[in-house]
Amino acid sequence: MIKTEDIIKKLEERSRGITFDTKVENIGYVENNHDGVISASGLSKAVMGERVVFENGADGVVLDLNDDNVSVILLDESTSIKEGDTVKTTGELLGITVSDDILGRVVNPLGVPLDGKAPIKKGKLMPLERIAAGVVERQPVDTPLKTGIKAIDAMIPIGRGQRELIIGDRAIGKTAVAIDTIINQKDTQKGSKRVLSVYVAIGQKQSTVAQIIGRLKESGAMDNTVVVVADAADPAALQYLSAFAGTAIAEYFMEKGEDVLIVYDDLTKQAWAYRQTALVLGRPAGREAYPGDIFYLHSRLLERSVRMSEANGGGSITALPIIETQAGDISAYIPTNVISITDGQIFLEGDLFNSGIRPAINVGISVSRVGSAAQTGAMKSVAGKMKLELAQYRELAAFAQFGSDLDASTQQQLERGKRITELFKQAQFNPLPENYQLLSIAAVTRGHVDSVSVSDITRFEKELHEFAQSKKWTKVMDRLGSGEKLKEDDLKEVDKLIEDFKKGTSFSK
Amino acid sequence: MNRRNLQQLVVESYSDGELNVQKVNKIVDLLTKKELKLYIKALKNWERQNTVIVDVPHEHTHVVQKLHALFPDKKIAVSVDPSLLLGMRMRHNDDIYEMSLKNTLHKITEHIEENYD
Repeated sequence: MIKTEDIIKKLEERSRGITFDTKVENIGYVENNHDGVISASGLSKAVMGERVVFENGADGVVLDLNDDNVSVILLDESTSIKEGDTVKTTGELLGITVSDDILGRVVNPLGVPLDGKAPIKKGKLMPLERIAAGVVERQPVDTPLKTGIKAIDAMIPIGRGQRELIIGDRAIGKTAVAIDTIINQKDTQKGSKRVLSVYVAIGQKQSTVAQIIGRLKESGAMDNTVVVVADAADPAALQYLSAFAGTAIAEYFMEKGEDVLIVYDDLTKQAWAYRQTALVLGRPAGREAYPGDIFYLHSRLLERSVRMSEANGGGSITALPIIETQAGDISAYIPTNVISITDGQIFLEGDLFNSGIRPAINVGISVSRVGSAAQTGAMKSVAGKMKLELAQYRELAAFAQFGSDLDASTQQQLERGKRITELFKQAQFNPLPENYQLLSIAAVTRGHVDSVSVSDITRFEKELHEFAQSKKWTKVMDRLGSGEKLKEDDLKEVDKLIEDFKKGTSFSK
Repeated sequence: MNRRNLQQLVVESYSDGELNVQKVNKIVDLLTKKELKLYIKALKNWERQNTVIVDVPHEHTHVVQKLHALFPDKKIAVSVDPSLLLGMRMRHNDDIYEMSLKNTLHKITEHIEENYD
């Protein structure tokens, strides 16, 4: 039986940490409510960005401090708030409580679970708005974040801590690239740290979000992923804050030394939501009616993607923001802004998509400004040659359209280019490990597929990969997967593998 | 009408700390509809600033006397709210001071909810 003293002792222990000081609350009164933007009198002690609570329990955040009133944006449904309702300050900045429990869950920007499962255990309160880490706390990007997509890993490599924009028209596979990247993080490669993912769905259709979540579950990547959703039916304020909520969750894991990948899908809709909020708040409208601080909105968000130095835990946040263009116009306001903020862009093109090149990445104008430092030695040793060949092909392809008589070497370059382009085709939700990517690339750059017709390349690659799985070639494939720079001897082994494969098939001719 | 004029009107509406009906009537006659709205808002504000609202669980005359000493220039409005159990709640301008047993119990519940599953 438990003794009375024990009970008292336990109670005393539990009650430690409760403060019994006089609670001082600052209150205000609702004066009007315009589309979720509430103007309240009183609240003389409210600060910018502070969370406030209405009489009916709804949350709001202070966005404007005026002479005799305060503007609060509502983060819940606005129907039940009326004139004269009281609103209280909370003394804390708007934040989201995050614990390890949040992995594998679907939440809204305030941390409320949307997947119908058990409540998420409360953890650390992470503020939505925070100043990004300074120069001293960072270190350069030097570790690759493998997307599993051949065209990206070979030509536009992404490093951990980088911000790589995915840009293109609607419905040409922007989300697919991001989702493939998340799926590719489910298995940690030997010798590298695991990567957790945060997928932020901003202003999307609920059906699309459900589909994406279903796909992540199916592929087994959901266990390492947090999905933050502010769908098209949520208040505009919640939509624009969702990107910050996703970043706050990523920062929680980053502070624990983890590597995190965050996808903002997409920042165009976030900019729209912010524009709507700003217009209702009565802020002056600028170009395309966006408020003056629209650039700062994105720059302060993406600046929080970082690679911390070892002294600061060594964690990282890699961002893949997505921007939707209209008719391929990357010179519009928001696209140019985000292009200038990020460390490179993956440009997807409608023409390529329609001609069957999927992922429709235009490798000519896509760039990665810091990723090459993070590419593995093995990839560098085969991809360098391919980049050059592809650049020559593009030059010649434009030129060759005018003439029919071409010399043999030009013909050969054109044929090689066609095969590289064909090889970059990759099915959706089918990320490839690096050693198989290297095998494919080596097969093209070392001339093994010159004899294979362009239409057969996909089949050739598939069968080659199946062949390489046999035990006999484990050593070669492991060598390719080690990431170290490949020597001529290693490449000769690869040649042998491919020739051996070709012998038994119709590709030998 | 600017803010200073408005404030002056509000101050003039009072005599001996009480709202003077005659003065208010005179002022209202001179105002346009828009100005009238502002005037009413300013009056409400003034009332709020100059009144200390005290909630107590049961009637206590000595509390009011003590508060008069604390806030010599302000009106004290007392209301009874038995749900406070013990102590008091005081509202001055836009600040609320919670010094009740109800609030203490609420804090304990909150603490337990936040720290234990």
